[in-house]
Amino acid sequence: MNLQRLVSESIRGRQFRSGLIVAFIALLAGLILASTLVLRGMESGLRTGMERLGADFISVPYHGFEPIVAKGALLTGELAIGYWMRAENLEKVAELDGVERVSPQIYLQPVTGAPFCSAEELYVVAFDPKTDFTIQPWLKQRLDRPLGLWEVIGGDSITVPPGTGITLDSHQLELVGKLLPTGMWLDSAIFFSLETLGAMMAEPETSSIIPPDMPAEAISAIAVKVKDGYSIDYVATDSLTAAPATWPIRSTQLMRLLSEQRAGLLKTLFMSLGIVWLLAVALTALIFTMMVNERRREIGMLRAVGASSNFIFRLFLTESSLLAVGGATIGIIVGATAVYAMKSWLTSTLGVEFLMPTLLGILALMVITLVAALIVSLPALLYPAIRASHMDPAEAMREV
Amino acid sequence: MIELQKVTKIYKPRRQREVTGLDDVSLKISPGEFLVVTGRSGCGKTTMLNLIAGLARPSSGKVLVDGTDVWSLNDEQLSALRKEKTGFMFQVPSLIPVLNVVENVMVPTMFTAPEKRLDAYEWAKKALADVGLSHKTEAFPRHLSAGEEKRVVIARAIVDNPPYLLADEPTANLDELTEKEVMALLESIHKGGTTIILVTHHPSLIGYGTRHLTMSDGKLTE
Repeated sequence: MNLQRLVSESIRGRQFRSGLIVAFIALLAGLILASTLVLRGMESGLRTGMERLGADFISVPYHGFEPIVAKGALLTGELAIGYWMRAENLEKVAELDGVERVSPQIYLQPVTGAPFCSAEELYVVAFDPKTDFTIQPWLKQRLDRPLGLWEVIGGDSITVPPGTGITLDSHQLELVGKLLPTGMWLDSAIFFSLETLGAMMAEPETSSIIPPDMPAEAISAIAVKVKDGYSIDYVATDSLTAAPATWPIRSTQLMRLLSEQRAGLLKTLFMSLGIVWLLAVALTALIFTMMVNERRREIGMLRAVGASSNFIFRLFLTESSLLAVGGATIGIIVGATAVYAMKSWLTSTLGVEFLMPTLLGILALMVITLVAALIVSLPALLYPAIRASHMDPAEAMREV
Repeated sequence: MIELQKVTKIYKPRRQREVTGLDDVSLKISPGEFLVVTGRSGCGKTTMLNLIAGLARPSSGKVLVDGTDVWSLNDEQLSALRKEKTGFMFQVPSLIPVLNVVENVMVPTMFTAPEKRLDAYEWAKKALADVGLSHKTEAFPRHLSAGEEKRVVIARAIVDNPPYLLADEPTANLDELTEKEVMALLESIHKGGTTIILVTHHPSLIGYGTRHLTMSDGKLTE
C-alpha cells in the first residue's frame, strides 16, 4: 500500500466523480486545441495563398457598389459571379506601361451537389491556359501539353482521379489534372479553357452553368502581374483610366481585409475560449474542493495514522493531476479529430480559408495544448490540495 | 508514559462563543495501563484523546509522549510520532470505502520505513486474524456489519504494534453481544502489553479497565 495505490483506487472507486472531472478538463483542452487548429489553419491558408498568388492586383467590374465587396479574388473565395466587364479591357490593361502579363478569368454559375466534388458548391471557371499564371502554378503535376478542348483541371475537393470522365450539366468533360490543396475556393472548383467555354456556348441546349445574362465578349476578372521596378499602385491607378468601370484590388488590400476579418474572428474565439476556460477552471476547482470536503474523515484518519500534511497535499494533488492529464489527453485527441472531420464545414461556415497543419505540426500543437491546459488548470488543482493539507485533523473527524 | 501537564483546550467556533474542551487537566498514564474515562457526551473525552494523539494543539499546557513534548515537533516529526506511538480508534469507523478490508488495515504501513514495509501485507493479515476477520480480507467496508467494521478499525490500529492504543467510543452503535466481543478483543490486546486509553459514555465498560476516571465539563476526577 502506497500513495500511488491509494490514488488509483480512489479514482477507480469514484468513477462518476472522476468521469465528470475528466470530462470538464477534456472540454477545456479540446476547445483550446480546436481553436488553435482553426486559427493556424486560417493562417496557413492565407499565407499559402499569398505565396502562390502571382498577381499583383486583380481588376474586377466596378458597378457602382463598394468595389472591395466584388473581390473576384484568388484569396477570399467570394467570386464576382454575375458581374461582367468587356473583354477589350484585357488588352487595354496589357498595354499599360509597367504591366508584365495579364490573364482573364470568367466565373460561371456554381453547381450545387456535384457528385464528383466533396464540397457542397462547385465553382466553375473558364480561363486562358496560355496566359494564366494564377491557377496552373497550383497543379500537383505540370501538364505536358496545353489544356485541350473539353478538358478540365480540378481543385483538391474533386473526388475522382485525373483521367476520369465527368459530366457537368450534360457536358462531357475529362479531368486531366488536380491542384494541390490551397485552403481557398480553388479547392472546390473546376477550370477549363476559353475554347471549351466557347464550345459550350455554341451548343444548342441551354447550359445552367452559363448565366443567361452573360454578355458576349465579357470576362469576370483580369489578373495582372506588374514588371519589376514599377510601382504596383501607379500601374493599378493607370488601369482605372485605361479600363473604366473596373476596379483594381491589390493583394495587400485583400490581406488587410482578411486580417481584419481574421482579427474579428480571433477576438470572438478568444473571448469564447476565455469564458469557457474560466468556467471550466472554476467548476473543476469546485468539484475538487467538494472531493476534499467529502473525504474529511479520511483525511483526519490518515493524519491520525501518521500522514504528514505534505503527504495529504501530495495525495490530493496526484489524484487531481492524473485526472487532469487524462482529461486533457482525451480532449486534445477529440479536438484534433473533430477539426479534421469538420474541415470542409469550417471553411464554408466561417467563410475563411482553412489549411490543416502537417501531422508533425498537429502533434506539436497537441503537446503544447496539453501543457497549456495543465497550466491553466493548476490553480484548480492546487487549491483543494492545499486546503486538504491544512485541514485540522481533529476538526475533520468531528464533523459528520 | 503519557503525560498531560495543566492542559487546557479552548475552541473558538465562528460566530459562536468560546467552548472549553479541556480545563487545566493534569494526568499521567503509565505503560501497561488500561485507562477507562467515562463522561457524558461533550464533556471533553474526545478532546483529551485528540490532544494525546497530537491531532489537536492545546491552548495551554504540555502533552508529553514518552518524554517528548508533542507540540515541540514539526509536522513531519509529529506525524512520525503518531505513527510510531499511537493507534487510534475513532468513534466513526472512517474506513476508506474504495479499499478492501486488508488494504484498509495496511493504510498505517504506508508511513512505515520502506525497508520495514515489505511485510505489511502479512502484518495486516495477522492483525485481521487477531480480530477474527481472516475470512473478510477482500470484502469492502460496505459489505461489513457494524461490529465487523469496528474490528477492522481495531486491526488497523494495532497492525504495527503501537505501544499506545487510543479508543474513542469503541462500542458506539453496537449491540450488547458485539460490544462484549469488541471489548474482549481490547482486553487481549492489553494483555499483550499495549497501553489502552478508552473513552466512553457507557459506565458498563468501566470494569474492563485497570483504572477509571470521570470527566465532566473538561475536568478529570478519580
